[in-house]
Order: sequence, then structure tokens, then C-alpha cells
Amino acid sequence: MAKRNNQLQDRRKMRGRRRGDHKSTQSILYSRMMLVCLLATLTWFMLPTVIFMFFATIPTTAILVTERSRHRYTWICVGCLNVLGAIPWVLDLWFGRHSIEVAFTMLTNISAIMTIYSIAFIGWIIHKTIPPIVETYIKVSAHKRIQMFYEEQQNLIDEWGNEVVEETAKTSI
Amino acid sequence: MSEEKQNKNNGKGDKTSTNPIAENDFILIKNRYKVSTSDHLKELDLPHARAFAVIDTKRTEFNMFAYICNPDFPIREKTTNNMVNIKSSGILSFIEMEDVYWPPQRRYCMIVIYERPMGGKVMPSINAKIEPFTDKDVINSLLPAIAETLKDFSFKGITHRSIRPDNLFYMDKEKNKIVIGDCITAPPAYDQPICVETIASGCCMPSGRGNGNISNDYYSLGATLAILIAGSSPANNEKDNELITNKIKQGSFFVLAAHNKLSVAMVELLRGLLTDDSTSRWKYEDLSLWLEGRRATPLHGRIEPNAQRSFSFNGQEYFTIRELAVSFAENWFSSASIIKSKHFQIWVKRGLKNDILSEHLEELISKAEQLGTTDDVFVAQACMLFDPLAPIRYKDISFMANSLGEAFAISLKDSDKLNQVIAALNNELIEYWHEAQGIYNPRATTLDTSKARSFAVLRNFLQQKGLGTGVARCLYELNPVFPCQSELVKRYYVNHPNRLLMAIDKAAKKANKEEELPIDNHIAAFILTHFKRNVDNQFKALNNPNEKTSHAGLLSLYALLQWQYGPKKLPNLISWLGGLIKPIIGSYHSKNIRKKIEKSIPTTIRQGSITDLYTLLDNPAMRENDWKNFLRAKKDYSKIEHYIERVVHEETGNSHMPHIIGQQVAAIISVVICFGGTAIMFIMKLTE
Repeated sequence: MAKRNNQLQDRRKMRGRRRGDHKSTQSILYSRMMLVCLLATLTWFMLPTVIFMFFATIPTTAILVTERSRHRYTWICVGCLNVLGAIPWVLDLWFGRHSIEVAFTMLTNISAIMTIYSIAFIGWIIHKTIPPIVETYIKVSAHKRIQMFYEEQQNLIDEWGNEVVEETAKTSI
Repeated sequence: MSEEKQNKNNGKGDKTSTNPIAENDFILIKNRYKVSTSDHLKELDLPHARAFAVIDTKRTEFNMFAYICNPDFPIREKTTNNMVNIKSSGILSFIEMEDVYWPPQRRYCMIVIYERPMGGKVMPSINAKIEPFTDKDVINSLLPAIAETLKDFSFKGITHRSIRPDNLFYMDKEKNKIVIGDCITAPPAYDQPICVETIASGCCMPSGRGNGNISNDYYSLGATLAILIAGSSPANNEKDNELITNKIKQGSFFVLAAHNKLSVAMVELLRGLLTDDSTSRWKYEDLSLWLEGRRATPLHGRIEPNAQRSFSFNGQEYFTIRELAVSFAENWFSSASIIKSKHFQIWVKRGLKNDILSEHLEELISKAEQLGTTDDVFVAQACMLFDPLAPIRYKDISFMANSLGEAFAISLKDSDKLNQVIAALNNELIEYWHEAQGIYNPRATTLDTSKARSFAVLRNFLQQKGLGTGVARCLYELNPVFPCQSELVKRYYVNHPNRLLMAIDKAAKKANKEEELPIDNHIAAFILTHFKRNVDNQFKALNNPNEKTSHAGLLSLYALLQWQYGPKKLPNLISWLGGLIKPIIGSYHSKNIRKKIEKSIPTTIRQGSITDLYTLLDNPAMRENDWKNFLRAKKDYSKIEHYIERVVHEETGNSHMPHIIGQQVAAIISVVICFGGTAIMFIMKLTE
């Protein structure tokens, strides 16, 4: 009986998991459909901007495709700066003549493309330089904390003698 | 030491006094009686107490003298307490007693002051020869007053036990008035020659004769009279054993008085007093009737029944079982086999014709075989069976059942004898002696004078280990006024706990404070016996092998004693204790508390109060706080240990985390720049 109960429970769990997987696949599908709809809408109403942004954000797209790390923070850094670099031309499009022709003119402007891509590169530099700095800071602060803890322990030993340590050792045993 | 100096200074400084003694050294008793340390009155000496001249500073015309007691002997407490109330004319008038420093012995001794007998001793020593007393001397000078005194003693329920010719004194220079002398400076009958003691008491070792009863005093009076009438002791040339054997064989009257030319009246008196049967022995009523002139038929002493044929033992022929018992006790190691032999059993049954004794002997032998009783215990039991009136005899010792305390006290220096006393107690020989008397006595195995209440409790003390147990405990339980025998305070005659701390304080000056403790087994036993409060917890701590606990127990005990009895300042003892408190201070966990206590100790020690020192060291509130805070500190330490472990684990076990955080920070910075830049550019574009 117990075996049978266990088997039933396992089956129920498996069904639950399958239902969960099904839900997550569904949500991804929904979000992708939403993105396609958004792009389609944007393309319909803002085709020059979309064309311009498509070419301007090539570094971001490239990193998004090629990035293999688990947390994928590189494309955010590069993407943010890439978008920031493209914003002045996008604003020119929005506040000037919003046409495919103007968009292509901008794209053919080498200095504009270089500027956009350079700023994207700055994003990449941020991604490469900030983590070691933060890492060093975290390690130093951890050391400092340990040092502080040791000092506190020493203060306790000074006040109460080695019995505090021995007792701790005993209790831990 | 200060008292020693003070006493000496008292003597030397009093130059204005016209008193002849005052010019020499003297000891002042009760601020009134001056005992000369140089004016030795040899003629009044007792075997164990020396006599010295005394001057009463308030009544200089009154003649007195003092006995300096041997501090190794227990004095007689019950008799001492009653001596003050005995105002009879037949005994030396007791004036005062006090224990003071006695320079010739360089220690404290009990000094007993009596009115001085101006005519000296009636008989200088027991071996001396004097002019024989006439009937008139006995009837007029001696007997009436002494009989009255013995009546008083009997009324108070005490005994004298020191009536002998060399302890009788002439109170006046004309030698008309005779009194009996001191009876409290030594254990009962300790100095009595065997000739003046009953057969049973004579069989005892001197320290084991016990208080006895008033009939013992009447016997001694009879023997003393016989000697005085003869002018010398008839037993001068006889050995002690021979004298006892002769008394058993012929009766005391025959041995002591029969060879004298006695008047019919004197025969009647001496027969009455020297009867070996204590129940028919004369007492005060018989004496007063005799003094009034009423004459009765002289008593004939009951002599031990003789056997039809003799029993040969150790080369001698014996006709009575009592004689044999004495001989068995003397030839201890060869006795067991003889007593167990069929030959002896047949002699008891057929020769002595005592079927009851024969049955009891058979029973004793079979019991001994069943229980595996040792030969020593068997001989002791057999001797008690053969002669129930005789004392408890065990190897070299012999004592009456009620003198166990004195036996302990006097045997203290002789380890062999002491072990024999202990063995007698452990083998329940005292209980056996009471059984052998054949009379039911519900109080036989109880001890009135002791907290211990019974011999079983004493045996328990002997088996216990630790301070305040063993022989010392038995010694003080059985001898309530015996001074503490600790080597530390022995010379200060400490017979009450209120003087103990003062004595230790004095002794502390010369003590080896680094190696010795201010307590030993004797002091501990003395406190346990005499201190009224419950000190079980203190002794439990004292006997703890852990030094800090035992020293805390000692400090607590002495603090309690000082609180109860004082004095307020004990500078030497407290400095000694001060050297022992390190482990107690160490028992506090907090170093700050330790420092604080250490800082306060010199001031407390200067004040000399053990109670304050103890309060400083063992403040319950402070100790509780210390413990609570220590527990908290332990918890904190453990918590910090876990924090450290976690931090180290984060650092070593999950090394990517800081890098990931760094990437997150970089991403956040990028997002912020992106939004910030976009917003600025948008605003700029709008404002163009």
C-alpha cells in the first residue's frame, strides 16, 4: 500500500511539473507574440526609426547573440550605452523629417555610426572595468569585517579568559 | 604572644605591691588571683598536677594555691560544673579556674584554685609510712566531714574518684580537720593506686576507669581508712596483678584490712565499705548510722565460688573463673586456643559446675566459628563472659564502657593503644559488654555527652574520610571540654569555639603559611562537635578536591565563626587566608571583576574581618551577574565564530558572487547613464 501511495504521489508531482513547464512555455510564447506585435506596430508607424535603430544597435544585437554567460549582463551595459549613443539621431528623426530617406542618410554618415558604436564600446568598457573594482571592494570590506569580528572575539577573551573559547569548542563538538 | 608579654609585664610592672609573690613573675586569673610561677608548693603536688602559691588581691589574708593541669588530659566537665555548688567542709574549697598562659610550660594550661590546706598532706605518698590513725581520729577528724561531702556528690549525681591517702589534706596547722583533695585535674581515678580501687576498676588501665558510681568512692574511702589505720599501704610490696588476684580470691577486706589490729567497730566499718559487691556496699546512710553509734552485724564479703578442681594455665593453677579471666587478659595471645579447647569447656562444666556459663561459652565458640571472629575479639568477648563486672579488655587496653572518651584522649599519643581502642569500638565490644551485664539497659548504647548519640555513629565517623572525621571527631564528641589537639592551636588551650579563631590568629604568626592550611582534622572535628550552627555545606565544600571550592568553604566557615563569636580583627589569620584566596578570585569568569576584587583585598585585609573578606569574595549577586554575563559572552563568541565562518565561506566557497555583483553594478550604472543621458537630450531638444 505504502509503495502504491508513493508511486501515486510521484505521478502527481510529475503531472504538476509538466503543468508548470507548460505554463512557462506558454508565457514565453505570449511575451514573444507581444514583442512581435509591438515591433510590427512600431514598424508600421515608425519605420524610419526602426530601420535606423536596427543598424545602430548592431553591436548590441551581436553581443546578445554571442553572449554565453549565465547572467548576461554584457548586452545590458553595451545596449544601454548603444541606445544612448543613437538617441541624438533618433531625436533628430522625431523632431525633424521622419522618413526612410533621412534614416538612410544618417546611417550612411560614417561619423554618426562611429560615434554610436564608440559609445556602445564605452558600455563594453564599463562592463569590463566595474566588476573587478566592485569585486575588490567586496573582498576588502569582507576582510575588514573578519578583522572586526576577530577583534571582538579578542575583547571577549580579554574580559572572560580562554574559557569562552574552550566552552565554545566544547559546545561545537 | 601578646598575652604572654602582657602577663609577664603584669608581674614585673607591679612594683608598688607589698605582696611577696608580686615581686616575682605571676599570672593573673580573673583579674584577682595572682598565681606565682616560681613559688612551687611541692608538698601539695599531685602526680599529674603541680601546685603553686596564689594570692587573692582582694582578700590577702586568705590562703590559696593552684593546680596547673596537664593540658593533654581531659578535665572532668560534669564534676567541674558541680564543684562550685559543693560547699561541704570535707573537701578542698574550690575557688576558681581558668585557662591562661603558663610560662614554665610555654603553653596555655587550665589552672584550678583551691583554698590552701595549711597542714599539708595526710600521707605524703602512697608508699610513705605515717603514724597510724586511731579510731578517734577516724570518727572525729576524718569520717563525718568526708561522709557529708560524698553525700553531696551523690546528691549532684557526680563522683569524686580520687579518694586516696595522699589526696587527703589537713586544713589547719593543728592537723585536726581533714579534707579530700582535688578530683578534676585528671581523668577519673587516673592517679589512684590499685589498692584503693575496686577489683573491676583496678583491672582497668588508668585512663579507662571512668566516672563509676558513688559506691566506687565509698570503696576508695574504705581502702584509704584501712591504709591510714595501718599507717602504710598493705599493698606496697605487692604487684598490681597479685593484688587484684588476691582481692578476687580472698576479698578486698581480707587483703587490705584483715592484717591490722582493728576494733569491732572498725571491722564493721571497713567490712561495710570494702565489700566487693557494690550493691551491698555501705553508703551514706550506713555511715551516718555507724557514726551515730548504731552497730550492726559485720558484712561478710561474697567471695568468688571456687571450682572443685583447678585449671592449669600458663604454669599456674586457678580455682575461680574471674582469676582466669584476669590471666587470659594478661596472656592475650595464648588464650584463644585454651578457651576454645575441649579441656577448658569440660572444666567449666564439671570443675566449675556452671552449666549456664558452659552453655554461653559453647554458644560464643560456635558463633565465633560461624562469623569468623578474630582471636582478639573472641578473647575479649570470652573475658567479658567470664567476668562481666570487669572492664572491656582488648589486647593491651582495658577500660570501662563509660570511659571511652578518656581512653581516646589518653591514648592519642600512643598509636598502638589508640588503634586498639578503635578496634574495640569497631568490633562492638562496648555493646557486648552491656549485653554481658545481663541487665536490660535501653541507654546502654547511647552517649549522653555527645552529639553522636550512639556508638554506631562514632563508628561511622571512624569510617568517614575527609576533614572533621575519624579519631579526632570521636575524641571531641566523647570529651566535650577537651581542648583542641591540633598542633596549630594546642598550646592555646582552645576548649570552646569562641577561642578558636583567636588562637589560630596567634599561631598564624609562626606558621608556615605557604605549605600549611589554617585548618586540620582536629580543628575541623572540634568545630563540627562544638559549633551549634549547621556547617554541613561549608564542610562539603572544604572536603572538595577542587582547591577553589575547598578554600571558599574554609573562608566561609571562618567567616561564620567570626560572625558568631568575633573578634572583629584577626590580622594574622586574615593575611594567611589572603594567600589562599587566589583560586576563589579565579572562580570569577570576568577579569574586570577579578581586578576589582584584587584592588579591594588589601584594604579588607587591613581591616582584619574575615566576614568582610568573604562578602567581598563571594557576593551572590556579583557571582550571579558574572555567570550570566559569562554565558552571554560565550554565546556572543560563538555567534561571532559563526559570522566569521559565513564570511570566510562566502569568500572561499562562492568566489563568483563578487564578480556577479560587479556585473550587476556595471549594468545598473549603464542603465542609469542611458536613462539620464536620454532624459537630458530629450529636454535639450525640447528647449531648442
